[in-house]
Amino acid sequence: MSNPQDNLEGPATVVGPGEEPVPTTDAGPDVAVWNPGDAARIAFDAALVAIGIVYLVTASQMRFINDEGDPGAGFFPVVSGTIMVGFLAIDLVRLALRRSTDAWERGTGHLSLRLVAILGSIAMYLAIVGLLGHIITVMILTVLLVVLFGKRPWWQVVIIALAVGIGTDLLFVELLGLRLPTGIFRLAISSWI
Amino acid sequence: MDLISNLLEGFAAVFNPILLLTLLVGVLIGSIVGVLPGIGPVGAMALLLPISFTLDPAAGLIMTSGIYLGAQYGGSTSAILIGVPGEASSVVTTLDGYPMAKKGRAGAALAIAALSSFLAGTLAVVLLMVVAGPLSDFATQFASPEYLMLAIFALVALSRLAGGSTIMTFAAVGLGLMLATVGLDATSGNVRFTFGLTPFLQGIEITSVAVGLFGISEVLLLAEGRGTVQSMPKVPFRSLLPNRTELRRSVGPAFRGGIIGLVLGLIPGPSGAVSSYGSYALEKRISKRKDEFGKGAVEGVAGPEAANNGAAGGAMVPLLVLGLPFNGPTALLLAGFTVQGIIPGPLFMENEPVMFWTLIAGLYAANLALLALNLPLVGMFTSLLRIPRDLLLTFVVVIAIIGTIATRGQLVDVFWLLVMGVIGYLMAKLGISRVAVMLAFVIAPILESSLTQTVSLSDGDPLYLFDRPISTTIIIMTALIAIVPVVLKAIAKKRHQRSVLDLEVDAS
Repeated sequence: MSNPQDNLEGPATVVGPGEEPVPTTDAGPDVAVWNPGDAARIAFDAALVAIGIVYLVTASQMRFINDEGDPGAGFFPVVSGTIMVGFLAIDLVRLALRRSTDAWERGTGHLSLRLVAILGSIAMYLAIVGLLGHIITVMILTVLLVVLFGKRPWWQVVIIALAVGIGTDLLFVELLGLRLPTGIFRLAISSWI
Repeated sequence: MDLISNLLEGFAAVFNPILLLTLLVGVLIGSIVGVLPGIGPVGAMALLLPISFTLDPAAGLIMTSGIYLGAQYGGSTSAILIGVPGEASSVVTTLDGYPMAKKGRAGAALAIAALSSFLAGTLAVVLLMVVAGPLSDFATQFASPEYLMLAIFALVALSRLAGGSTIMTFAAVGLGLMLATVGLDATSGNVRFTFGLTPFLQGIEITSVAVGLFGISEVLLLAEGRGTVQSMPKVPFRSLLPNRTELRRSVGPAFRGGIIGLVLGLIPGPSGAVSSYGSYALEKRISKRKDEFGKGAVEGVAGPEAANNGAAGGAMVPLLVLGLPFNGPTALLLAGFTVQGIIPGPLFMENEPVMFWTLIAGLYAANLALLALNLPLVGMFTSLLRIPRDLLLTFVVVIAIIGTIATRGQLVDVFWLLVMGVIGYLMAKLGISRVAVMLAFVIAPILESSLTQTVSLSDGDPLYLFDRPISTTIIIMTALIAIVPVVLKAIAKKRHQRSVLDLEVDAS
């Protein structure tokens, strides 16, 4: 078991000791889990520093102090941006100094394409839900995810997609009264009725 | 006497059919999601928070509290039955809970966990009853300088306690504050950081931030590994009764654990996990059966479970009395309060007594519901662990998207969900605190208004904060929490070096 003190805030996703795992319906071999090294850390820090600088430049164009001599709209953003950029800069310097005294930690594994596919499927939802509405879009999303992570016959995939699409609409829209995008089909059906 | 009658009024409000049903649904959903691997209480609350917005304020907040407590208990269920903690504060429970299950005492361990949580929940209600009034009166003396220092104290304490790099926790705090400044500034009326994009005008919604950081990022982490399902012990209903010895041995640890949790819950940071460690360490130290720890000691289940639940109750004090969240779940509760148009703080108890006491009674009733629901339904909850990974991932992604859109019906929120999901995943991979981003995001409006007001009031005098006794006290506390761990670490390092030197001298 990993040291639980390492991360005190999030869910612990450790696999328990003891029995052998039983087969699941998961598809494909194990994905090599990505363990980022110091280079990835530097890239992350640098990307945020770049965002932070753009943010600070934009903030500097706002009024830092207003006519009454009180803090203006740019005051708090400048403080916030400085905190982030400042501490990231310290981290970058710390990593650079570590390289001079010690070897950098090297990453292992690689970023899985499955992760890109999950993010892509959410982006797909964002792109087409306005046009197709929630039910159809979420069905497409479900098909994508189930095919990607499962190993099921096509008819099961279709049933799951239908159940998720219609089930979520019934639960969230009809029962709980939430507003979800309707798209042109629902509008067409409504006007036809 | 007033307190008791107020509490009874709260109970009367909770025990109406609608609120009771909402509470039970919240506890049930929380327990289901808490049992599922990879989604902790914060993730569960974030995913389900938008549903609570459709209810009236009392029902919505009670449902959210039920989800929180349910998710915590769900995490303990999987920790005991298969040795897989559903969340960080249940990790300690696996140490003795899982060995108990292997010895055929799974049912007893689950019952002890539920009873200990219930005891801690009771203590938390007593604490709130006793402390909330006087603390609220005291907190009415707080003005913007005190709130400013309190918010800074919360963020500094979090950075010291969250684990991982302190520097990066502060950077995460900066990121959270920056995200909160996007959109229309409520104070000045200025538009900030929209880059000409109309959808950004309304700013970033807490749901996108929370669900992205804790829902989508967990999906990405889950997708990396292969889902494995452990074989689980069967827990017949009759075996849920602990024997007399187990009960006797649990009372003390549960009581002590509850107190530890309550005290640590008042301090910013991951109090659930910290207090469960603290309780376990204490029980092990004072036990006459030290050798049993790690092999199924019932004290190792009762103490940490009570501590973890006590911390949840303790963390409600700063939220309800000061209006400041000190950890992830209470940050989400504050978001729920805000959406429902309720402002917790020193005047909350006075201005909204019915809501205040209904919430307190609701928390207590949620603990009762956990006992009534979770033990008989333990078989159903654990069967959820066999849910295939493709369905689990799809379920979480779909709920995350729906929850995000449902809050205010804006597609731009899905964009922020995606962005926060990527950031959350990278932060989890790099060991950077995600709670820091969320907490800073939620605290930012209080921090900004108190900072600008304090700067205006100070009239350029940098020592203005020290003229005020309460803010001076908070400054000292902040300095202590920032410096003491560094000093202790340095002393420990020096001692270690000295002992190594002594050993070398002895050897030579």
